[in-house]
Amino acid sequence: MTMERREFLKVIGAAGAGAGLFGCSTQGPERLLPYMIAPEDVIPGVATWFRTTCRECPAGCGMEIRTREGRAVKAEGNPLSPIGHGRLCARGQASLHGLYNPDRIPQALARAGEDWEPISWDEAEQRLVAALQQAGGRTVFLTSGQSGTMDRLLDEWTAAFGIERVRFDAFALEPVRAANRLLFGQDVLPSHDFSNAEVVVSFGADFLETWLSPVDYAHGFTRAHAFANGRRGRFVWVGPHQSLTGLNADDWLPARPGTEHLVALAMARVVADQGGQAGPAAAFLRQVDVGAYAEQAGVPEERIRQIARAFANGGRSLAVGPGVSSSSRAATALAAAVALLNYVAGNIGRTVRLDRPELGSGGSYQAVRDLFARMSRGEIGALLVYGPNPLYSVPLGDDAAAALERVPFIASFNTFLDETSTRAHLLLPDHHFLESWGDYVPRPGVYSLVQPVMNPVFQTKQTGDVLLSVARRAGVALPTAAATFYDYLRETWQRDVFPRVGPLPEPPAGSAAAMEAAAAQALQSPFENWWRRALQLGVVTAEAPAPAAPPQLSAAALAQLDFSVPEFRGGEGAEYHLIVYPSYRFYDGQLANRPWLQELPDPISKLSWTSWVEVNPETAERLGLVEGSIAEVETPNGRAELLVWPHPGIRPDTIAIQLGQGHEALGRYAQNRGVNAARLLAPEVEQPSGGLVWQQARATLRNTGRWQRPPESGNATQAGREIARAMTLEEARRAEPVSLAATLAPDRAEAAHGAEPAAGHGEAAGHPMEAVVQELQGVGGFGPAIVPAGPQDYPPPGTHYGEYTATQPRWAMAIDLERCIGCSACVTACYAENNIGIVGPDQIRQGRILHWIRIERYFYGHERHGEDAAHTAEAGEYTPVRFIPMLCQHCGNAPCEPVCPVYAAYHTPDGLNGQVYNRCVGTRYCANNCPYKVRYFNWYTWEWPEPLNWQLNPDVTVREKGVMEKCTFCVQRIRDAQHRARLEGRSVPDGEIVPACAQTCPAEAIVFGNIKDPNSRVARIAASGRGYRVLEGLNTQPGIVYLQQVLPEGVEA
Amino acid sequence: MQRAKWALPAIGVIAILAGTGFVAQGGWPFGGTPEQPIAFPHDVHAGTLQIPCMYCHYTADRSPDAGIPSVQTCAGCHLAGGQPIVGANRPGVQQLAQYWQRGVPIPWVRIHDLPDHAHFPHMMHVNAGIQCQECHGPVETMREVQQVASLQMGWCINCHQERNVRIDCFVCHY
Repeated sequence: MTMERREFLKVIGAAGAGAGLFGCSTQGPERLLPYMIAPEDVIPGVATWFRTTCRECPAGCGMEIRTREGRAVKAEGNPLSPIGHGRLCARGQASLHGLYNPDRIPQALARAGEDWEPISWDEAEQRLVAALQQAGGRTVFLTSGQSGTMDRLLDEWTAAFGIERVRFDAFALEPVRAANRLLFGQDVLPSHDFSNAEVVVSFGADFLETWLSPVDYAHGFTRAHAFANGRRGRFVWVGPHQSLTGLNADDWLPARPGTEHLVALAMARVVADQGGQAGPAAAFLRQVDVGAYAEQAGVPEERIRQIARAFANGGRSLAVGPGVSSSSRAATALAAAVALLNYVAGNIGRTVRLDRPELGSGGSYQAVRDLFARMSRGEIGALLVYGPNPLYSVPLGDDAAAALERVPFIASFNTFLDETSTRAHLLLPDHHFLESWGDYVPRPGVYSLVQPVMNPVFQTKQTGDVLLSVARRAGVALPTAAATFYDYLRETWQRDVFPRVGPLPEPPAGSAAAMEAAAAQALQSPFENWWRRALQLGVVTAEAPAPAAPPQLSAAALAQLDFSVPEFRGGEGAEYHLIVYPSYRFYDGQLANRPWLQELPDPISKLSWTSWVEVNPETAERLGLVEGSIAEVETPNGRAELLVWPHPGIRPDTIAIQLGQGHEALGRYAQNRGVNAARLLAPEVEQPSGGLVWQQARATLRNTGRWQRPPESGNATQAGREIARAMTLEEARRAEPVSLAATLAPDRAEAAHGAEPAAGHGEAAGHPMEAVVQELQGVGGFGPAIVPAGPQDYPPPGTHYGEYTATQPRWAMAIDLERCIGCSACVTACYAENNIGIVGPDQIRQGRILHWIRIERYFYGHERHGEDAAHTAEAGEYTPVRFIPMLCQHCGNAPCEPVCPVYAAYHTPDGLNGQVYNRCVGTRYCANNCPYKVRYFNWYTWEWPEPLNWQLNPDVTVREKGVMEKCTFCVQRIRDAQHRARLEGRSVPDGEIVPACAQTCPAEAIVFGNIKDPNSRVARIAASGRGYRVLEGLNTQPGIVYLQQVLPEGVEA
Repeated sequence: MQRAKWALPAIGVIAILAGTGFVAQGGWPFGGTPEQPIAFPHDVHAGTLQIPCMYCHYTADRSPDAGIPSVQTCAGCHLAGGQPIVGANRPGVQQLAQYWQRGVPIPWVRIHDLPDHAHFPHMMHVNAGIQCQECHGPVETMREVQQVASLQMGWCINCHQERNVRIDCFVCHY
């Protein structure tokens, strides 16, 4: 902390936590720096929240940022946002690592030979003006897809300067736009209502990861899909490779790469025959030969027919696609086939809303490829870059870098020195979005505000302000007179949004906001009052446009599309189709320098900090490859060596590589790590959409004979321990006759009160482990006799737990495995909330990863009683994968506690399993004795390079070397809520305490509360007949109740 | 080399004294009373002038941190237009004016310092009716503030036990 940052009071506790001081010694006098003038709305030591909008991907989820003493410390979702529903994905959680990233461009820089020279903003703007005047009309402004006011400013600014604007995003889904343009005359990316889709078929669209609006879709998907009221949705994944989204499917149709559109057409034909509304497409569909198409796709015809019959359910189904992983040379044909399928099934206007499109990304690959061609011909005088990094994210040919060299002047507004920006002459780093003013319109009528939550970390300047200032300096007149982007934003909102949205919901009576508003009412203009309220809400919505009549389908356009099966090109002996697919963690790769995201194990492979090639286990066996083998992948365009990771969810004739790694620039965490799969592709444009052909190549796969221990966490099998359990649909109907929906979602109230659990849990009697436990007890094993009790019966009869009194709550958690999609947002949220160290790949290889909550991913779920039925997916099978969030179970009879020689692991009166860092001497006995393996040891004192340490949560101790740590159920949040309740003279209502993991879960899988209160949500959910406790045969009396996953209809447990 | 032979045990003795709280009992952990950037007399402000503690330490009843007054709080009484008016001839007030004019916060030296693994919520104690003096001593009589309580865990626990407040570790250590 430097003296210039005097606005930030160095307060008791806060600064100390940041400094990482630990123990009773003090290393010199500590200084207390007061504010010069205390800000009115900040109470030192108490969090201040700001609402803004996440800009890590084009979805635009609403955000709430927790700040302490002027620093953002935690990102959460804005519950008012219809896009994020108060939740965030892992990328949104990790946005703070973008804000505080030590590799951000700290100030305006100008190229000086090989190096960069710091210049003032004044000078930087002058240089930009001079360069623009010199280049004249031969300037191009390359921007990512923008929205709202910034988009308007860019348009006005480029028009005023006579500059061409080119939009580009790597995942722009051009084929979806193109198909809707051709078929319906609407060039849009439709929004999708997953919450009303009982049958979902995805043709390679990873809608739980990166596709359009993943948090909204995950939220809606689990609501419609998870078991409730005796019913369960159905989700079918079509494509050669299962990503995280694919592995959540109930059926997998592993179509040959490039044949997904045939499956869609075959389904459309069956739906039409079932009485679907083929309309103008009837003649076209009559030519579809279901049998022949199934044959070509390599999928059993009967399965297609069966799924299609379920799909024809009167507008409560949804087909989505293509995503990047199914964008072959037939991508537009696939998008058209999917649109046709939705049309025939009557989904357009119901689950598919063309009239309410997603903003999505903008531009096209074709445009940026043309731009690079013009650059290499020397036609571009100056290039401005704002957002994208095309040199990294897409293949542009071997001469792409040389093309940039031919541009006399390149200026970049990007926040990182990425591959494209390193070739610039002038760097004008933008603020991070958490430091910026702005707005975002993710869907029509949804206006989400972006407001600064803290002062800028670096000497950066918001690009909107730079553009306005440059226009002034150059004497170019803009349609606005605004001096700053903030003024421009307000002007736009006053003119456009204010009249359209109308009155906003009032703040709750008696609240500070209400009093402030009342006081201000008379003094300020109506817009000023409205604007202040809008900033408090973070997002305002206008009346949703009335649903338009379903658009007319153009049969002529359909007939003109080429539905033939595209080829995958490869050289001699190239046997394997290469699938490249987007990374859930890094999106298009621009997020690869966030250490949390690098550290976060990939939801499927559980690998971190690296790239890998996914190979079917059969193929791997044939080539003598095992996990960690180094294989060489070669396509006509490139060659790469990668770790092998055998994946049961991929066809034997296909291999897959995730995008997002392999950076040559960007920063210390991303550089020279893994492989950029885009380098293996040719710069080929798909027609007629103008998108990139992502799936184009066949590759050779060669075993190098070398092996390296992968930086991996977790196991593929449960080894017969029944950790993640599942039951059949029939069993679930008997076990949970009454819906739990009401307990999970207060806004979908449904009376679940008084539900009698059909079958209590605590199946200790007859449990397979019982004999083992009894044997252990004979030789001094755990605790007293097995008691058939739930966590609410804490403490177990006959036991004695310290100061415990019956008046204390017992904190407990219920986790519904039926809802968990394995996305790992909770893991990232936990990193952020609890100051968890980043250990890096070498330590992970040694099994030293720190994550208080981890997602276990078990592949062979079909085992029973120790029998591993190695289940490789056959064509048309369900891939048996189970996700289970594993964290400290806060056992009532915890094995870790009695073995601690210094009483550092102990039980609190409110049922938490406490870990007292200042007592801990690091014997690690507790971790050894923990059957859940959820205790983590600090082998080193981990470092957070400045300013990453600014993010550290001042409410949580920063641990150092030699200390054991683990999940605390976010005790700092429990204490905070208890303190507030005590001061306000009330009790803590159910739902006020929300741990970080439960807060962010897009699938609403985690519920926390006091299980001794029979009306609490957690108690009501835990009473479900699907409930069980992991390894309860050990009599650990866990405080976490899991609800069993429900298997798809027809799958045997 | 000769010197090193007796230096080692001497260091040991000092370490033991420190470990038993000898140093901490003496007040400020570094011995004596630290020199503050401005010799602020609490006895005048809180004693003679009877300014309530929470006039300056304004967040003690609503935040874990008691809060230290902003420079503006000092300036509000002492300065007008950046020039000293109250106690204008006192060196401390002249220093204050300099800090204010330069826009630099006063780098107070911290006296009461808990280790970072101990969470002490001021507001819970203030609202429970604990007087500031019970932990901080008779500040209103102190020319220079000294630490009077040891602030060690036993001292905390004693008070919690006397008042029948929870004493399990996870109340403060997390």
